[in-house]
Amino acid sequence: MGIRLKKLKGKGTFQRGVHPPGRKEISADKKIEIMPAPGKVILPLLQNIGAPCKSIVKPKQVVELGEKIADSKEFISAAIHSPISGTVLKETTVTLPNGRHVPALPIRGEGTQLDGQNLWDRLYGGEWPKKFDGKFSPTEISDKINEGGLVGLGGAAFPTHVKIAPNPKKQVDTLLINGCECEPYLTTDYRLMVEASEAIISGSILGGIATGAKDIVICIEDNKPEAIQTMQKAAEGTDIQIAALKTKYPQGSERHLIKAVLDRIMPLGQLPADVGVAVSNVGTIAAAAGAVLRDTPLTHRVVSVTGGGIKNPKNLLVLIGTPYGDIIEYCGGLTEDAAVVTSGGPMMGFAFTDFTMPITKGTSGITVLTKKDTKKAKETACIRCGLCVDVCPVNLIPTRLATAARHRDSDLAEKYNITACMECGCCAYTCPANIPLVQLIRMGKVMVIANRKN
Amino acid sequence: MGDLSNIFLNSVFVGNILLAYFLGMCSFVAVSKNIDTAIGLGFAVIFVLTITTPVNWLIYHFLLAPGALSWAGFPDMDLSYLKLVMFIVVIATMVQVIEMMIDRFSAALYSSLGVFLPLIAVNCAILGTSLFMVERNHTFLESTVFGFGSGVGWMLAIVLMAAIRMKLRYADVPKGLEGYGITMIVTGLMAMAFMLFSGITL
Amino acid sequence: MKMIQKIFDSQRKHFEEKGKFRMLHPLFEATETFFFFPGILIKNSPFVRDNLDMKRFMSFVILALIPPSVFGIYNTGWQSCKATGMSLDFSTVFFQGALIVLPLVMVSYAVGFFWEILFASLRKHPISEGFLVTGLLFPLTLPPSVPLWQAAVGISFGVVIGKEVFGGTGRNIFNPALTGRAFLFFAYPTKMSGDSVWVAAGSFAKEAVDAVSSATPLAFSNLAVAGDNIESVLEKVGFTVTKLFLGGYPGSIGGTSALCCLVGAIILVLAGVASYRIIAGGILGVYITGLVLNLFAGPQANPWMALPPFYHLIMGGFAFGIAYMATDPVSAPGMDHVKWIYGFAIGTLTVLIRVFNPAYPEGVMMAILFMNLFSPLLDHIEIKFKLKNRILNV
Repeated sequence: MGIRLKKLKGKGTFQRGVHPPGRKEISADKKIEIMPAPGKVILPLLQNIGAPCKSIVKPKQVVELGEKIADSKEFISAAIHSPISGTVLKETTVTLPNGRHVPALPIRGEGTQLDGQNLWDRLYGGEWPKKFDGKFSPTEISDKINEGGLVGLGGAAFPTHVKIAPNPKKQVDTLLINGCECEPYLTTDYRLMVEASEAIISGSILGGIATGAKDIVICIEDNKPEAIQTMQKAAEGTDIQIAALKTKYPQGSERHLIKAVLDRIMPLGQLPADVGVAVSNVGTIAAAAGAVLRDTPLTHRVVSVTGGGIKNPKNLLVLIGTPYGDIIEYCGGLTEDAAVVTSGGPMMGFAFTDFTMPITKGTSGITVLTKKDTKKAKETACIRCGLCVDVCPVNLIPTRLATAARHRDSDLAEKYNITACMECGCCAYTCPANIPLVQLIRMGKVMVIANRKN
Repeated sequence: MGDLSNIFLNSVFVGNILLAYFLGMCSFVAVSKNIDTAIGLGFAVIFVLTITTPVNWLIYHFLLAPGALSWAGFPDMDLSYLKLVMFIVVIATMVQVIEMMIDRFSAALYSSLGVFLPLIAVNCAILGTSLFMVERNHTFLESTVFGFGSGVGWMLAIVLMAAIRMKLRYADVPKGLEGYGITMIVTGLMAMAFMLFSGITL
Repeated sequence: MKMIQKIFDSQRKHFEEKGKFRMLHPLFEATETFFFFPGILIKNSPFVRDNLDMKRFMSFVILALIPPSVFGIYNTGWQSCKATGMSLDFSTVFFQGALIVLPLVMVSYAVGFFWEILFASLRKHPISEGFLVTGLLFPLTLPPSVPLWQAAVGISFGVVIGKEVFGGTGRNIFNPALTGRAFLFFAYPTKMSGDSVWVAAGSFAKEAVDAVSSATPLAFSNLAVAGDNIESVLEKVGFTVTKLFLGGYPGSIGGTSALCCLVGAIILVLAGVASYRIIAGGILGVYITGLVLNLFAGPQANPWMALPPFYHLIMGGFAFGIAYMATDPVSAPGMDHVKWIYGFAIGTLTVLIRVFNPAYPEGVMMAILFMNLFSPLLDHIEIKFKLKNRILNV
């Protein structure tokens, strides 16, 4: 599969990065299954980057599927809707896998739920128009997206209506739809592209209208030929281009995607809009199509449940707020040699042990790794082999950052631009001495930011 | 021309004033913690050396050397026993001038050099260069080049040392050797590496 | 394997925090990891790691050192048998070589390990696999006739002053093996240079060694006077280009065969252990400097000037030095661009020393040591430049 970038300037790849084993075959061919609604969902009130939401329902109130239950007045925030028909219970606190304690609303399911094929048809199935002929104005689209409580489904969970909106100050000329899914193991976006390509195309066109972008490019790594073919077929008759990019981690990072496709450099501290680009995940854009055309808020999402430590790996359409334990049980439970359960993929995911916690809007998968997968040797001294420097996609010097952080040398860490690190994990992946570079750098960042405030 | 460049290369590499003769060690060890300071002090030493060596040459050859005062009618006068005192006076004066200049143009460098700036006056490398210049019978031009070359050699050594010490900043050096101890060991190893050039005859 | 595991498990308590041998914990740990892959589960992201860990890293270096070591044994034996008039059939030669080389290697490992364990126990740092490399590199740089006690002194200096005083593996400034080698060179010059040291006469045939037959190509080249042609001087005594490339002439144990070093270098570069930038930079450095000197060559000039540059690549220890010593990641610069400069300077200095400094026929060792000095500065400059010019990202 060659690099097909017709009119685009980029080279289809970026400098540095790593090639971890993809292991996508574990769940790549599993069709998206619709998981039956659990008895109870727990909805954390902070599921996005930005301001947390406040509950707008009372305990014991009866809510319907899709009813708004929490909202915020802040601009960078996204409303939360009930994924289930039932009764609201008393507000509690949950600890998410990333370690944050957030208030959450549990809802007990009651009565019959929209389920199975009907649910699929409502969210992704059926006909999706490819032409709108001025039916929606840009603000209308972004308002509807806001109303639907959409956030980036790739993992970062940045409120979508902020990105997919007319921006008079910074003119956006290109909309990139990110279907790279560079994280190993995960197949969420891949399955969506194969099974819900129509919705993605429809959403992309709407996104193009909202942002005013002339070019729309769907970016897919070349290890997913089937997705590329399906998307090409679905895009026939539109101006949407499909770009096949070289497989490399972290290709899915906004910054690197923009570099690879458009050859534009997005400096630190700037947003894609500053270089005239909007980037959105394929899952997000499909959900956006639903929010605009069918008024379906973000209540369900697709997650991959994969890895060698799960009995039956699956791709599931689940309710947001479903406890991890229920999902794992639905997939047959863990195998005997399962060692680590992570929320997200193995590179950037977080390990967790409390299976009563719920998945959120940003959970792209559950990866269960076996002991064999995650074994490593003991940490030894750095021998300055420079491998971390060779792979750092943001051009930092991880080993020096880690040394500065280890010795609490805030000035040195700041001098080496520690805050530019995006914690992709390439350095720790490649380090032969098994130095926990990501942890040290994370620690260093906290230290530097605390020092700045003083 | 060839002679001059030989003298220059000789004084920078083969007979590095610091690593071959171990002159100027005190400020070398003390001010090599930071590269920027080391570069500043290095330039100061180059400047002082390039000026004092030829000035001392003039003083020696027209005032102090045996028979130097013949122009004033004292052909038998030999004041060479005064050379140590005279050289130090010249050096001290020059250092004062430089100190004022650095204070005027770069306050940051001035404060980071601290007490070591006036101490250049008693930096053995400076006096040593003047004495070598006498011993080796350099001409005026040669002594200028020699002074400059010695300064460059000294600066090279201290900048290398500063870079090494920055690398060693978080090394796990045994307790008793921290600071000056490890610096002296590194100096020794540096001198060994510089023996690469010993034996080259230019 | 089960039984060994049991022994380790039953003995572990003596070496832990409160056991009676807690001082020797590093030794216990090193022995255990020698037998078993340590199974620590990763607790923090990323949860998958590359397969290249420190053990494999060092194993590749050892693997790459095997060709020059084996050839070194053979060549040492051959030279020795020839000098003492013994038969030249393969097994005798190999046996004779092993008799000379293996004690050196064993002394180097034993003494080096003693220091490594001593420091590891006292300073409570783990025993590093890095020593396995140093302990083999060091004897390969020595002339075969060096007395064993001198090898012990050399490796002691290299390990203690070259590495341990800085806090152990990864913190040193100079390559420990080279530090030890240079120390011996300056401390015992008669045993480390000259014409009579490059062939070990063996322990049971002590006839006088024919000085001419045991001189190295570099020494021969120095015999050439102005107006002579080094190539023909070498040709006369049988050192053709092929012979120089393949090895098989008197010299340091591991350093004679450019071919073996080339094989080793390819292994190292393919495994991602050595930087091709340093090696390519070094070769370029030698070649370009050689060509420039050729421009100044004339009938009155130093005959070295006229030597075709590729002779420099295959003669003496350059190939060994640039492949194994210069690429040592600890003492070389870490940044990509300055690695070229580092390698280039090593090449240039090697040639300049050979041409202009007859006191050191073998310049590459000192050239690498000298450039080790510069690597922190080179790194500093590149990082400074990088931080200044960086558009903070990609």
